[in-house]
Amino acid sequence: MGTKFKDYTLRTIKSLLLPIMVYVFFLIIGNERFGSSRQMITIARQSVMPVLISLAIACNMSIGMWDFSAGGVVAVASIVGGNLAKMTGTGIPGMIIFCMIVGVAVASFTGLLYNFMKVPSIVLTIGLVLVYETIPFFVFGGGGVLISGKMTILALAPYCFIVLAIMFAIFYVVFNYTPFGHNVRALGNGQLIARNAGLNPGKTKLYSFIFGGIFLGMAAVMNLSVSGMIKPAAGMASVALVFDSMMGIFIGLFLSKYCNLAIGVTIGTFTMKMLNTGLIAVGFSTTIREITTGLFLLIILGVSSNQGKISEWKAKRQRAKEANAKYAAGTM
Amino acid sequence: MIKECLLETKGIYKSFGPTRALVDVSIQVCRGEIRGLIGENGSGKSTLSSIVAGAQTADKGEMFFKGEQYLPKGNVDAQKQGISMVVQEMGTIPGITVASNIFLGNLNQFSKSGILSISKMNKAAKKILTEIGVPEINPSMFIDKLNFEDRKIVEIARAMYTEPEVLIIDETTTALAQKGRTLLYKLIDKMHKENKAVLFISHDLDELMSVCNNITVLRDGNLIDTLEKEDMSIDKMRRLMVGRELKGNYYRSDYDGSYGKEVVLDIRQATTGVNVENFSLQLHKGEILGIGGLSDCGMHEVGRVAFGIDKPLTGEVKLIKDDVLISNPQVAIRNKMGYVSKDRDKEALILNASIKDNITLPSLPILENGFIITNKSESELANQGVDQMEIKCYSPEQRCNELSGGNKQKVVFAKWIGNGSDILILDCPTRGIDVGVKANMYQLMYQLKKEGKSILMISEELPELIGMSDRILIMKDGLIQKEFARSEELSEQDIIDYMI
Repeated sequence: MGTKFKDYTLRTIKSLLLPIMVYVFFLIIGNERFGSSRQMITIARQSVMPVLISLAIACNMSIGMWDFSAGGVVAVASIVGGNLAKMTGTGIPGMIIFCMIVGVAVASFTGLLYNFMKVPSIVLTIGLVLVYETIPFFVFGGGGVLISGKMTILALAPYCFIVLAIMFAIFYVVFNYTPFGHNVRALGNGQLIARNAGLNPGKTKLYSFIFGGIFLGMAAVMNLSVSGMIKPAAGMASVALVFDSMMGIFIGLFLSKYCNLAIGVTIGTFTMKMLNTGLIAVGFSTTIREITTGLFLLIILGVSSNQGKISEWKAKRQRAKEANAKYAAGTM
Repeated sequence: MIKECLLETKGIYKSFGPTRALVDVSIQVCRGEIRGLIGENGSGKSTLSSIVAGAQTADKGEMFFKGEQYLPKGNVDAQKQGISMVVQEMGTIPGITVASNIFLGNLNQFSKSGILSISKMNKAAKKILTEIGVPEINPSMFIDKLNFEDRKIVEIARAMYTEPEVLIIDETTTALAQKGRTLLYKLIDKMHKENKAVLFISHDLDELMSVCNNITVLRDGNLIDTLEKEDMSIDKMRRLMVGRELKGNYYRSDYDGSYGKEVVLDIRQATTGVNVENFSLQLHKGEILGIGGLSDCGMHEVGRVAFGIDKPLTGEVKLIKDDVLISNPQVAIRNKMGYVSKDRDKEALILNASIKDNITLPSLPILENGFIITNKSESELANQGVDQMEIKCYSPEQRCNELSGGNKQKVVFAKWIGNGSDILILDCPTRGIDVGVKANMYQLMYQLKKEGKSILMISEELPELIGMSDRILIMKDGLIQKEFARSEELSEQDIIDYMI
């Protein structure tokens, strides 16, 4: 029991170390422009949508599928779902249902096309970004969507956190306690063996896209609630939405050694948001912010890839020392 | 008493491109039978067993199971119908638990309203692990924490949980040490007593003789014969497998054990991260130096250090003639050294590349003409390797992953011979290959010795060490326990005492 508790505590500390370090760093250099509880709540609010997108693409990425079309799906779901809710006068429930339906439908189309065309996901989803970005132009004649008043309430605390908590719980349960979640993990770690054991990779991948679609639909709701107005994206602008989330996933995958992937992804996305806010708070220009964000991610990935090298080097040095001592003793 | 036929194949044909893997193969396996399936690499044993296990479909022919037509839609379907298989390759998935691995593809049985009952799954896994004799394996632990043998045992548990009536074991015992083998033999015996059947594929003829009731021999995709227990003999099996007389000892026949005085490779006081500590040896010109011991005695690490794959923590590896320190494989290759890894598929071959690409890879600096390597020079070298090693392929352009184990090993040998290597480090050079190819390999090694090449042969097979080495070093716990000179009187028992 004692060892288990110690192990759990150590893992928790390791999982939280990164956001704490980022927080402390900007608290020190931020000159009181960073670190207030109010600011942290704002960052947490701003993190809700990227976390939802991160969760949406986490399954796909753990199977080795890149999904650059997620931002496009969010854009389509926001505009189509929002307009349908307005047209039918169904308010927030309608917005949630329509956005989710559109999200799932579009993501399912991506999954079906992936299974049918057998092209690399990175190629397919980049191509689909262009297609999805043009859908609102056809459906609503190039117009976006504008909501106001009570319709935007989900962007505010505590509602945004309730939405996040519900979606997080769904992801956590599905990923850890369903055959689908286990199949995703099995496919991610050994596709050929999993297939030979009777798992249907095509079906699991399709389900993964559909499952992601639910989260993208909810991300679309939050996107709409936060902005109030969404214009159709063009020229692959929607990909920017995915990049923020992908960085969160990279950190999440790194942290998944110590905690559950869902928790890691959430911590990762929040950390990236905090980093960005911290950089703004200390007054860095956009260019410097982007360079710093990129370097931060590279450092994380570098540390992740080379973890244990120092302790390995120390152990080797110790072993060499002992061997040399034995040799000297034996030959003297 | 008439035995009830459990499994029957009728006129099975299977081709892979121009290669005919199975030609009109018909076998009958009755209840209570432990049927051995033998043949050279590429003879069709694995193809036949994978068709029976549902992993592949036959081009032509029929199968019957318990008297009814049997057309498995896949492994899981075959398993549901009562036929399970333990495969030759590693078949577990890292990153998930032991229980998840056992029930992979069948998790729905533990889910209610879509939610998986982890405790129910772990309980079921524990039950099957206890039944097969490994209650100590924790079903909730990540499989990554288990060693290679225990992972293989988990695969056996996966095959057994549906209580199959036919169990196919495809060259699994090579991956198992004593614990795993004992467990497997007990299971085979249990299947026999329960009037079920086992299809047992192995290259170890002694093992087949002791385990099986009868043995079916395949050669070049054709069924050659089925021997009953009373007709079985090692020589007869060898003859049927290779289609020619391969009697008695196929190792070198001389016992003079002579080699040159010149030391070519000197390993001095080498220590590795694990197992090996202050290890020293000297390899001479024209010598076959055998290193033996239990699998974890450190001998495999010695091979890796000798070739520069692992840098020694203390000491050095030196080529005496040119006074060169071997610090990495590039230096070793540049100085005419070759290394045949124990892990052929991961470390010795690029499976997705062609035979030609694999053979020519270490020889590219030799083939270079300025900055250009012509296709002609590459093809010449590859063709020479294919001819010399008698690699069974339709073209040097054929991918290595389409070759049988023995032919893959021939490609590895061809790679280093083509490179003109003077020193060869062979780690388990005949692991998982059949007697015919083994005989070729031994002839080749002897020929290389006579040409003045030096060979460091690391082997887990004592007859091979005794049969081929000029000197044998027996290792235990990372140290040399005993050195044996080549002798006609040297027996396995003499050596075993120093290994354990």
